[in-house]
Amino acid sequence: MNVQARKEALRYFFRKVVDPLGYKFSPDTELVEFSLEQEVALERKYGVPYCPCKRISGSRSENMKIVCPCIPYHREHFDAMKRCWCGLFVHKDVTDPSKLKQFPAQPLKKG
Amino acid sequence: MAEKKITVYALSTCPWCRKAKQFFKDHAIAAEEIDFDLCDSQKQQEALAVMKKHGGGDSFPFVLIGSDPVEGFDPERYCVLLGIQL
Repeated sequence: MNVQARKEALRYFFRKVVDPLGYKFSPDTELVEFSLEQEVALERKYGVPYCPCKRISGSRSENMKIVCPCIPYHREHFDAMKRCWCGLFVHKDVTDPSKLKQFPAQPLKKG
Repeated sequence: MAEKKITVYALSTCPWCRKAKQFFKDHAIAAEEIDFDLCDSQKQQEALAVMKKHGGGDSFPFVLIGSDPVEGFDPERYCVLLGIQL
């Protein structure tokens, strides 16, 4: 399957998963196309469409938490941002994703 | 203001990492860029140790401005830490 066809397949499956969770694809189409393309590449490399903005570790159980759409594993954090970490999905009421901030789930430590 | 060392820890697949890198280029601010997924295992371990020391390590972009960590693309925070206007 070529990249474009796989992107369309992921789009179809992802929509079915995120819709009942109250999310939709971001209106930022450039970001969506780029991110889906990266996920297809990650899927080809690892066999799984991981989030393109999360570290893939050696732990299968940890990696399961970053398989797109990873919203159920990070619900509280993503709901607070009204977007998922990579911004592929946003809350259904979001019309301008550029206004949404990306912030960490937990406070960081100054070194 | 003393010049702060800036390091951008990124993934080559991450769109927000690209924006973070571009932010520093647009402001003509020197920043070291580390593409975590393209590094060898030893360099990854070193980078991960730094990110974990600051409470991060799982999400990108991760930017270190002096000793202040910023996880996520946050130009407003970058400006505050650098003392510049957005």
